[in-house]
Amino acid sequence: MAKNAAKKNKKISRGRLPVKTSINLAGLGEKPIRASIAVPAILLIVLAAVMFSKVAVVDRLLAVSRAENEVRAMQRQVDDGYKRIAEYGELTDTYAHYTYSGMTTEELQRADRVEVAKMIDRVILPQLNMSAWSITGNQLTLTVTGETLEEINKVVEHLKQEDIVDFCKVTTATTNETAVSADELPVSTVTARITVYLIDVLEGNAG
Amino acid sequence: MKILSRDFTTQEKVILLILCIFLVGLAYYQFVDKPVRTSLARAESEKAALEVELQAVQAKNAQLKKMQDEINQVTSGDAVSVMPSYNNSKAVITLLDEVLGSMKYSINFSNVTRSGDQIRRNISVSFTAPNYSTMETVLERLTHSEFRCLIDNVSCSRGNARYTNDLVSVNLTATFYETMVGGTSDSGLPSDSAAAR
Repeated sequence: MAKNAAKKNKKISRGRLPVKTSINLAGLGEKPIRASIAVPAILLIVLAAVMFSKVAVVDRLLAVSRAENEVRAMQRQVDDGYKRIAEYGELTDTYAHYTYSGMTTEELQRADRVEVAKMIDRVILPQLNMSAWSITGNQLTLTVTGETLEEINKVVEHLKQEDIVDFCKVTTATTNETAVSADELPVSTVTARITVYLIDVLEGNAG
Repeated sequence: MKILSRDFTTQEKVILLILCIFLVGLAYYQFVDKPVRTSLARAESEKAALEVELQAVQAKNAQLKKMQDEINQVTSGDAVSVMPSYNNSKAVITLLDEVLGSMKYSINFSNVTRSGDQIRRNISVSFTAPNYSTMETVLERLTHSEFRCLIDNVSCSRGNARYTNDLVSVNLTATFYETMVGGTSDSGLPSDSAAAR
């Protein structure tokens, strides 16, 4: 077509007749399409369309799909959680009957009175006369009588070795003279008050 | 392009191009962008709500697991003490009768106290045990009874002898614990001191 156009513009020399026998007027004025420009242009347009579809449509639809999947996964987690809660059944009621959470710190720390009584039975009674003992909180007070203060002190040292004892000391000590009979000399004894500080149960368990 | 009897002018082509771009943009907005935004916003809001719900469910599960562990720990011990539902006074009296048996005793039942679901039934007991080991047995049976009981103050006096076969006078205060869970209120139940605070 380019050749024809070139020919068309050529001046026809005299005596020579044009070879072409027909003229296509429909093509008159039409600019020829160059493949070297058209093909890359079409490719560029297609590429742009594909890129647009990918970025603006497909990626966004995938984002929606991802978001919906996340929601579904989370919903499954929530449902599983409720299922596990249901599996616990009447646990809350059972717990109310077993828990120690309603007790005060003082109550939880309080030394076991049975352990204290057993300790007295094991450590004090075989060695000393004990007229009284009392316990308030974690403080134990013992009133004991021995032949000498040294004897009482030995018991105090023994008490310090006990697992439930934190610290103990003799707070008072007085001598007594008791006449056993008229023929015999009065027997001298020592009555002492021992204060024992017991270990807090919580502290003992933690240690 | 020759739709009409003549070519489009450059101006017309530009206008047509702008129109096409506008129509494509409109179609994109209407059929892609708007539904996508709506779906994303809905998913985000559902996700946010589910996150809150999930946290609550997980917290509840953790709490229940902790409860289960605590129950397992408590019940795995030798002496399992249970807090019965309020009002357990009849069973407590029966227990005291069994424990003190034929010993001379005096019991003072104080009014129960309440803090939340926790009920405390305080009692003062004075008794005379025939010997030290009987006194120990009483303490042990109260402490390790099926109902949770903590002994508080104890004072004990005995004959000034070295041997353990003397009469032992004991004064003690103890608390029996009960819970309002599963319990029934009655006129003996005081108001909740925890709620009053």
